[in-house]
Amino acid sequence: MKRHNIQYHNMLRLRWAVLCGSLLVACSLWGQPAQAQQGSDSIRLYIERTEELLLWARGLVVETASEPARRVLGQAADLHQRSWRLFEQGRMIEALAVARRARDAMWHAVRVAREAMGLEERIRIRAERFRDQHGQLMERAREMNNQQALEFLERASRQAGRARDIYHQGDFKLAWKLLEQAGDLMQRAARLLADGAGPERLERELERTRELIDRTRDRLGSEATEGQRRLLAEAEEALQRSLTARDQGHPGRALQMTGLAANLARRAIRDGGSGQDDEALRRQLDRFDARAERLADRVRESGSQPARRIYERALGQKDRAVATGQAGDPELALRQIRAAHDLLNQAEDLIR
Amino acid sequence: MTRPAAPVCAGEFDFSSRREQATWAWDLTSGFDSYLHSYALATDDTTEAIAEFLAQAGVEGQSPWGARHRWRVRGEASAGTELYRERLTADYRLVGDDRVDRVRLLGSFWGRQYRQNTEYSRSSDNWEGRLEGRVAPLVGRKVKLELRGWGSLIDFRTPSTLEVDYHDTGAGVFVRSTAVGNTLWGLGARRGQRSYPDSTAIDRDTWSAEGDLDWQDATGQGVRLYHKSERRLIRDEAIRPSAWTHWSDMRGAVAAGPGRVFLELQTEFWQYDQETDVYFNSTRVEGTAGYSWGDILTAVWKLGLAGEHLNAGDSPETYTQLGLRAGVESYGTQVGGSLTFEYGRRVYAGGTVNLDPGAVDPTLFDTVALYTDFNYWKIWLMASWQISNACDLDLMANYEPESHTEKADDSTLGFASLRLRWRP
Repeated sequence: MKRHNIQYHNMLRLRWAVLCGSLLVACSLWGQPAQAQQGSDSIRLYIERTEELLLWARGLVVETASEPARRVLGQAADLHQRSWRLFEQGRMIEALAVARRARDAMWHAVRVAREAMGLEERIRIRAERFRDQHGQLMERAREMNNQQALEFLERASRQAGRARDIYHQGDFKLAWKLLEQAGDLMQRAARLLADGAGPERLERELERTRELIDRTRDRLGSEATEGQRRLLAEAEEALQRSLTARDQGHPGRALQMTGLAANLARRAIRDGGSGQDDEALRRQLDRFDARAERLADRVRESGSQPARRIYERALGQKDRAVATGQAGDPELALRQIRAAHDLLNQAEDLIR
Repeated sequence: MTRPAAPVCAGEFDFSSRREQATWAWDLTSGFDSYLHSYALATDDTTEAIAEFLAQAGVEGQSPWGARHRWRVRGEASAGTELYRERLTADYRLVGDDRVDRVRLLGSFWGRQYRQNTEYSRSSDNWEGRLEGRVAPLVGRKVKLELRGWGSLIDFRTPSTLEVDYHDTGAGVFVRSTAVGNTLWGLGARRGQRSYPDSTAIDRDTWSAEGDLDWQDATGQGVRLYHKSERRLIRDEAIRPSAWTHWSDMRGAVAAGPGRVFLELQTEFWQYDQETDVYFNSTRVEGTAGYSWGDILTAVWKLGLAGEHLNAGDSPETYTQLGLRAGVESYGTQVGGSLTFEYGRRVYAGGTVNLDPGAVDPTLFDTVALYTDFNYWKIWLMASWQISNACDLDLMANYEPESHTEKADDSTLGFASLRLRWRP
C-alpha cells in the first residue's frame, strides 16, 4: 500500500453522492437484463475491492493492540460477509448498501488503529515521566509531612494504575485520558508543595513569625502592659497551634494560624505606642550586628554570589535604619531593621 | 529533589509531635469505578461501559521521622466485581547528614486476577513488577551525581498476541541539584531495553537525554521546564521503524494584579527513519494560557484558552484545536476539589485520504474522509470530603463527548470513581 495522498475537499458529500448514485443506477438498471448485468458487475467489483481493503486494514490493525480497532474491524468483516451473501441471493440493492457500511466500518477501524499506534508510544513516554516526577514529589511531600500533597500523589498513583489497567485492555484513548488526569493530580500536588501552602513557604512563615514574636518581646521588655502581655501570649499560642497543624499534615491550617500569630504580635506592638521604640531599635541593631557577624564567614565560604549580594543589601538596609534612627524616626528605623533581618534570613537560606 | 528549609531558630521549635518511631496504619476502602467509551460500531451497541464495585484493605508502614534509614511500604489487596488486585510498593532511602539521599531503592508489584464473568475483554491473569536502585556516589554542596538502574516485567498467565509478556531493563546517570533555594535542576542520560520473549521482532533499545529546571519564588511565580530527547531503535525495522522523539514541557506563572498569568506548553516531535502509513513524522504543540486568581486556601479561579496543533505533513491527521477553559479549585482541609470545563472545536486540515488510484475502481470509490471536524466538551470534577478524622470520601469524574460533523464518528469518553475510606 502506497502512502496516502490528500484531497482537501469535503469527501463526505462525495461518498454519499457515490452511494446514492450507485443505488440509483442499480435501481434503474433492474429489469433491463444487459444493463442489470453491468450493474451487478459493478457491485461485485465494489464488494471485491472491499475485501482487498479489509485485508489491508487487517494488516494495520494487527500491528496495534487496540481493542476498539479490532472490534470495529470485526464488524466490518461481518458486514462484508453479509454483503456477499446478499449478492449471491441476487439482492443487489441490499448487498451494495451493506457493502458500503462494511467499508465505512473498515475505514473507522483504520482511523482507530492509527490513533492507537501514536498513543501507545506517547503513553510509554508519558508514563516514564510520570513515574520519575511522582517519585520526586513523594519524597518531597513525605519529607515535609504534607498530608494533603501526599493525598494528591496517592490519588495520582491510583489513577495511573487505572490507566495501566485500561492500557492492558487495549483502549489506548481512554488510557491516555486517565494518564493525563493522573498527571493533573500530580501537578496539583506540585503546586501545593511549591505555591501557597507549600512547605518551604510555611517554614519561612513560621520562622518569620517566631522572630516577630521574639522581637516584640524584646521591644516591649519589662514595661509591657497587661494587654500587650496577653496579646503576646495569644500570639505564642497561635504559633504553637500552627506547629501542631503542620506536624499533623495540615499546612493550610498551619499557614492560617501563623498569619494569626503574626497579627497578634503586631497588635501588641501597636498597642504599645512609640515610647519604647528607641530602646527596641537599639536591641534590634545589636541583634543584627551579632547575626551578621556570625553569617559573614559562611557567606564568604559558600561562594554564592546571590547570597553575597543579599547579605550586602542587608548591611545597607541596616545602615539606613541607623541613619533613620539618628534622624529621629525610630518607628521607620524599626521597619528598616526588620527588613534587614529578613534579608539576612534570605542569605542564610541560600547557603544552607 | 528538594529538602525543606530548616528554621533558623530550630531549637525554639517544638518537634515533639513528630514521629519518633516507625508507624503502621491500616485502612479499609469501598467504592466503585466506572469507565465509558462510546464509539461507532457498524451494527450493534456503540457504548462500552464497565462498572466495578470493590472493597480494599491496605496497610502502610513508615520509618521514624528524620531517621537515617527511611522507608515506607504499602500493601493493598482488593476484591472487585471484575477482578482481584494486589499492590505492593516499597521505598527505602539511606539519607546522609546533609539530608541528601545516598541510596534509594524503589519497588512495586501489581497482581490482577480476573473473575470468570468479567466484562473486560482481555482476562488473562497477570502480574507486573518493577525494581529501581539509585546510588549517589558523589554529593557536593549543591549538586549530586546519581546512578540508576532498573528492571521491570509483566507476565501474563496465558500470553496471546494481545497480552504480550515483556521485560524492561535500563541504566542512567543523572546530575541533580541538592541545595535548598528557589531553583532546582537536573540533567540525565539513560539507556533502556525492552524485550518481548514471544515477539522479538519488536524488541527495542532506547537512548535518551533529559533535563529539567524548576524555579519558584515564595509567591508562586516561577517556571518549570523539562525536555527529553530519545532515540528508539527497533530490532526489525520492517515491522516498526526506528525513531527520534523530542518532548518538551514548559509551565510558567507571573504575578499580575490580584492573580497570576499562567502558560503551559507542551511540544512533541516524532521523526521516523522511514515513514509508513501509520508511523509518520509529526509535530504536536499543545498549551493553555490564562489567568488565575483567588486564595489557594479558599478558592482559586482559572480562565484560559487551550489550544493544540498537530502537524503531520501530508497525513490526514493534521489538525488544529482551540477551546475555552474555566475552572475553580480549592484546597480546604475539610472539603476540597476542583471543577474544570472546556469547550472547543477541532478542525482537520484535510481529513480525507485518496487511495492508490490504480488499485481502486474510480467509478465507485476513491476517497474517504478518515477524520471529521468536531466540537468537544471536557468536564473534569474532583472532590474530597473529610467526613471525620478517620473517614473521607473521594470523587473523581470526567466526561468528554465529541460531536463530529459526521455523526457516525461521534465518540464519548467518561470515567467516574467514588471511594469511601476509613482509617482507624
